Amino acid sequence: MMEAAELKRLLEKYYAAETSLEEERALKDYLEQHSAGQDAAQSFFQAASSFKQLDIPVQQFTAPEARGRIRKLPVWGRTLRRVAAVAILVLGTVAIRQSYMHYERNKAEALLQQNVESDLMKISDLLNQADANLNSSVEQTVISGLNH
Amino acid sequence: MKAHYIILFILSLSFNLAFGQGNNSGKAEDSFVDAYFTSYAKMPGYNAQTMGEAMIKRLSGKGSWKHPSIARIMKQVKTYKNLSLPVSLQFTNTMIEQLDQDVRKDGRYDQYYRKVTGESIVIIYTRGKPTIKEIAVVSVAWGHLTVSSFIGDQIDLESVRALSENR
Repeated sequence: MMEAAELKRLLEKYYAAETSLEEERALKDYLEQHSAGQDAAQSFFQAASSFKQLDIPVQQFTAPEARGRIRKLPVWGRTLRRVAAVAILVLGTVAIRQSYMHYERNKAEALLQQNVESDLMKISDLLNQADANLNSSVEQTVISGLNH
Repeated sequence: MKAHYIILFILSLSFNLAFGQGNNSGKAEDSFVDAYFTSYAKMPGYNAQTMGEAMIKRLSGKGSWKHPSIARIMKQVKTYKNLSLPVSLQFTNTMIEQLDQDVRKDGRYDQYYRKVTGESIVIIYTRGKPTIKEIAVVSVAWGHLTVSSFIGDQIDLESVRALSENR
């Protein structure tokens, strides 16, 4: 017969998850043999009646690694994470600005380049026209002078 | 709370950097455009552009010019200015009269060539003797005024004339 002190010791070990399989089996046998209410330490050990269900397979819901992953970061870790987020935002904005300015500059340059080239061609055409007009008027003057 | 202010400050700084106005304004060398046409800057549709020495050098360095003759001429050019403006016939007549008077008074520019037809007016002006420091062309056609100016130390007019022969 297990004494109350021994029973208490085993139960304390059980709640501390330190019992061996043999000790757990002993506890289970004892509680099966002694129904609640007969024992002097009934109020203390009432919760231990769940031992009767030990034969029911235990269902595991969560993996221990998953619990580890959601643990809270320390203060410096959170600050570092915020700083990194802001840095990414700032760098992203600067990069977008740079590429936009590059695009605008190229567009303006291409337009100006077109203007330069077409203006030079226009001036060139006009200078040639001027030369041609001058030559033809000189020729006409010379021819009319020779005719007279 | 303090961290929030710092983050807000950094954000506003980055947006200022991203969308703030650039400080690329600055007075370039005076051109024909500056001398006679800046007073029209407030008119609707006024559009002026300047190609400075740095941009010309960059384009020349990249070999961007369409023709080797253009590249050769642009080596002599330091600044290019261009303005355009929609104009009425009445405005055109007044403007050309005013321009003729101003050029005569100014004395720095010579009218090199003028062509007037029923629909258009084109005038070429040059500055500098014997070396040409500026070529400007004023044209009005189809209700649109365009003024362009090429400024340099020594622009070879013959190279410009030969351009349309070499293309």
